[in-house]
Amino acid sequence: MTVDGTHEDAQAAGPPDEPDEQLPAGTRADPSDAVDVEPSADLPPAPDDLPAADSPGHDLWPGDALDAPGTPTDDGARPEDVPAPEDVPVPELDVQHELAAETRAISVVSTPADPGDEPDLVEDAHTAGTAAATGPAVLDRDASTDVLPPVEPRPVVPPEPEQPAPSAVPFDELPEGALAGPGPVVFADVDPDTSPDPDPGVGPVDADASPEPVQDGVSPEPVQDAVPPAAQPAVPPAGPQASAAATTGTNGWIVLGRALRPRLNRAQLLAAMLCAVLGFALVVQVRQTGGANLEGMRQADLVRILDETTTRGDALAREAADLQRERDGLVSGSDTRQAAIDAAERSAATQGILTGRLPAEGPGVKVTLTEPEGAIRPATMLNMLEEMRNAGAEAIELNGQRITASSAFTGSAGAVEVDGVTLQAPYVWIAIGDPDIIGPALKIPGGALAQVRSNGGHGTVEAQDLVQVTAVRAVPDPVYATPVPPQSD
Amino acid sequence: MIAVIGLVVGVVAGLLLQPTVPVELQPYLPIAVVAALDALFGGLRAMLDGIFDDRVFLTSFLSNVVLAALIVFLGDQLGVGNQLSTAVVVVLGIRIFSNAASIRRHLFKA
Repeated sequence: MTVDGTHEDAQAAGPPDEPDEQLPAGTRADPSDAVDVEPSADLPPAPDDLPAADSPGHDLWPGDALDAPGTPTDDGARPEDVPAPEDVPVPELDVQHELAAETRAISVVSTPADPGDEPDLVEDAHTAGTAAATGPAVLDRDASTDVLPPVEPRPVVPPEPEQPAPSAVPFDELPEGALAGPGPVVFADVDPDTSPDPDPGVGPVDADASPEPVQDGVSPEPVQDAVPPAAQPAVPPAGPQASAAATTGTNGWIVLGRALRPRLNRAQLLAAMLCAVLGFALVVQVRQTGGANLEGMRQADLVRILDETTTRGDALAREAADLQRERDGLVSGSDTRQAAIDAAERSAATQGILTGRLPAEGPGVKVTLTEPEGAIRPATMLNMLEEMRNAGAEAIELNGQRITASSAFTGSAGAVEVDGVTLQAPYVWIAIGDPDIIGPALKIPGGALAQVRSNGGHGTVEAQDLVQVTAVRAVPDPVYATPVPPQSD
Repeated sequence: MIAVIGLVVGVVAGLLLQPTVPVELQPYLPIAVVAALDALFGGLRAMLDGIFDDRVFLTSFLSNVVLAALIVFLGDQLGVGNQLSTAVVVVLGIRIFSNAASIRRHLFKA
């Protein structure tokens, strides 16, 4: 309860630092304070003077007042109580301004209703307030805060300069005396700072003043306290922070440095222990997160991840199938192309041999014709060639001339020309083919060799296992004929 | 200073021991850590305000952690664990920021 209370109180205090907000807050608080006092006292008088402020404030304050009294009884309340006295004076003083100025009667009315001490205090406050109101000191916040504690001493409060110091000090020391009965707590450290800041001479006064306010804060004042704390949280008390800033030291670094100073007490050990726990948990959590394993995830997240993974896997599988198909197509395509190349090469070789573009070798026959008496006519040579072709000769050479489909025998007997080149005896035919077929074919009666003999020549046929036709003939590209495009495709 | 040393000790211990968080606690540990951070900043601010109280600090630390974890646990039971943990983180983050702003105001007067 106090935990959040203190922090949030402090939070609330944060923004309203500015004096502008404080003033209205204080003024607002004034009626509320009065209200608190009033309800406890008497209903009738209240509505008279503070009707407007009553209605809103009425509902809120009592609740706060209820909480507030509860806190002071508890441990954590002390810190709250501390600031309380500060603020209390402020609003009250303001109240007193109003009251003093306008309705002193109300204060009188309210006071009798309150139990024993209060009337005195209130009256004292009023008196002090009036006194202060007369004096310039009232305007000053610190001075006003100082005024309150004096309220208890009652008589001569405001004018004395020393008392402000004690009032400031006790706030810090209050927790000390209250919380740490056995030994000094953290705040013990703060005190020296604060005390020297406002007043160097305060030192001795502290000892005297501190115990008083502490006791005052605890025992006699509770009622009064109950009022101020109620006002405090509501007023978004710049009170605590302003007081802290003013009293506990103008420089936060000093406070921080003092707190960082190694010291062995309960608060430090406790903070150290909690910080150790925090650091431990922090590291563990960071490591856990860094591991990024699935153990710590919720079911919904796991399902989502599973879905994503499955979807992703499906997409990848589809992509893999597509790539596989593409690869197969490329492979088969290259196969087809290679086959086509092979076929083309084979075809080129065959046609090269047949057309005389390529030299060739193989089994065949070598026919030598001489002209011992008479001359061999071109018709005889043509007859010899056709006989060889009929017998299956595939490549034929005559005296270094490649004989192709377009070769022609011209000239006259004794000066036979082949494709315009005149041949000289002896005529040597080289034909690649089956020797066992070509040889007998040439020798058959009435055949090629018989015709050669009739011309007065002489011929011999010599079968060989390997003959070479080395002569080639350049085949001119066809000028008019083009291949018929394949119709199957 | 001792608190800083404690923090370092805790970090080192976590690094050395390398404990594994029980599966049941894994969703709540980060929230608890954030809550503890919030308490830590609150304590620092209270210290600067001069109203630091170790008992308050301990209570706020533990209650924040437990409450945050409890809220998330409840959210898990209700099927809105993600949203509630986000809400807790947002609230605690706002608190941390406001506390940090107050601390900054104390230290830098701005």
